[in-house]
Amino acid sequence: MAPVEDVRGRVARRYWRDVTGVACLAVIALAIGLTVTRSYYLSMLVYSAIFAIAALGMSLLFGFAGQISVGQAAFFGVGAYTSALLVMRLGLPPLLGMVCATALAGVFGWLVSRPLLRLTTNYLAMGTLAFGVICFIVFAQLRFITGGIDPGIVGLAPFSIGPIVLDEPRKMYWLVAMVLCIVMLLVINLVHSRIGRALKALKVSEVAAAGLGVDVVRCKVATFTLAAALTGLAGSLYAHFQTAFNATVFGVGLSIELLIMVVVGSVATPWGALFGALFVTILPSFLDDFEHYKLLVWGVVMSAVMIYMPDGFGKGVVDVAVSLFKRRRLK
Amino acid sequence: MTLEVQNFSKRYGGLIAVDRVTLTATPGDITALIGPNGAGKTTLLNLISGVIMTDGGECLLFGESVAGRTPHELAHLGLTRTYQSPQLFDEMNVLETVMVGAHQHGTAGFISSMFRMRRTRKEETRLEEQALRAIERVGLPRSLLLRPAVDLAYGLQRRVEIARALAMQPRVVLLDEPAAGLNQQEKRELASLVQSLASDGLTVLLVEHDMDIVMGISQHVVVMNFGCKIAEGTPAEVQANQAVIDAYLGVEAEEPADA
Repeated sequence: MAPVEDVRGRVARRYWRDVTGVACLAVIALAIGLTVTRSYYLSMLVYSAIFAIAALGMSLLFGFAGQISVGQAAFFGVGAYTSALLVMRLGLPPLLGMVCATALAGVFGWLVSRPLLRLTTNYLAMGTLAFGVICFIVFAQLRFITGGIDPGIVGLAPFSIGPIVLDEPRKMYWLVAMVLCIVMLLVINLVHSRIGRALKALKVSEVAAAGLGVDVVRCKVATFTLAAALTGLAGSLYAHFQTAFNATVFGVGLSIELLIMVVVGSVATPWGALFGALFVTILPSFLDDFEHYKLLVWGVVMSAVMIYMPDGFGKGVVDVAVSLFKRRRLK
Repeated sequence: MTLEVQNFSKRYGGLIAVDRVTLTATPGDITALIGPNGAGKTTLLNLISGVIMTDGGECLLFGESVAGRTPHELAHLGLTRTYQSPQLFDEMNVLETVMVGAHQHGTAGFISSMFRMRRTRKEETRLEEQALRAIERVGLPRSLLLRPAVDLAYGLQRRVEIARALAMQPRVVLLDEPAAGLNQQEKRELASLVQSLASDGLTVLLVEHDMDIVMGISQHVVVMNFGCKIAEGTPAEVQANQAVIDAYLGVEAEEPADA
């Protein structure tokens, strides 16, 4: 048999396949940015990308480490408010504000993860839900900081890097697309690493993972922190894109939407978060024509995805594409 | 002595699952732990591997007291185990599963993994090689490397689990009924694999119901019943022990005196 040195590299090969995916994503993003001109479509894509960044955090936390959170909107809010306040009250440049927002959301996530991650499964869902609700109430009531529900934050300057002001969807699109590609690459790096394998292992059996030397508690806490930081980053971008927002955005609805994005997209791969974010953000706008039946149609579509594509919409589409391709080759 | 268990105990309410059990395991030897169902063998294994906390007693690993340590701390000291029903990770292929075993031989954390630094890339290659060697060691064919581990036949799943434990490069291995559910051929192969592990200098503690394997390959046998150690010795000594025979075959009920 060939020596071990000759057969190694199989793990790296899978990694490079995903990296190629990120390159394709960058090319597609570039093509869209150069061809699509209607700001309505670009806004939709900006929102999708922002939610995709938050959903990537959720994908790591729920899809890989198997820890559910129904309170991610809290970190989205922390990111948005930190950015807004640092820029509006302290006059910091938005880029620095974004870095601080990411860091602060991460620190906040780290702090609450210690007690929350003592819970598992349904109890963790309830715990994070309660945490999300509490944060929403705090955002709504701390009016002297957040502006509460009315008026909220008003008149935040659009994102700017030096003299370049990203004051329209077209310009913001480039920034958000770039951030998304970078985050996607970082997440893919993580997934194809010693840590990524440890997360997948502890999702299935914490005991077996610990028995092999995986520090389960540390891995879970670090994943929660990272997910919170990514959600904070998304919140910061959201704040600058909106320029005006109030606490209602950061309610339980957003937390659940982030969870749905990952479940609908696919929990098995970070690409699921991207599919899911596009799906959940864009589909409702197609349903506007149905008016009163919007929720009904949305519910039916969701149920159909859950029943016929249990591995997620993203994976379902890929599987169908692959099987069509194979069938054609057989002919 | 590599592994010394002294007076380990575990009680669940009124039930004493493990009652002051003492045993030692030495490098290069296979120490078998046998006993009827419910004797407390797996509980003892769980105590040693840190899955559950002991209620009393001491456990020395290479002379160091390790009672109350968590499983991942014990793993760093070189102790690992397999499970009665294979605890494989779904969504992972054979190679990745075994690479989790090599986890503690890497140092890359979240940050260096996310940025995939040069050091991390080198480390990945090293971990993969380590896993491939372990897979080779247990005789798994390379064609299975990229197959999902949970899709394999039961006997092969057992091998994956042993390979995963070996990728850790442990010094002490606890095997919980590794032959359960295997056919005769697989059992023979497993027995010679376990034997070769011991001859490489590993300390093997084997919980097993298959008496042919236990008596055939172990140097030292510890017998438990109702949570207590009832006998200990070489396979031949244990087989001749009256308490062991009674435990396995039962004792005839005494006739009431006034019958």
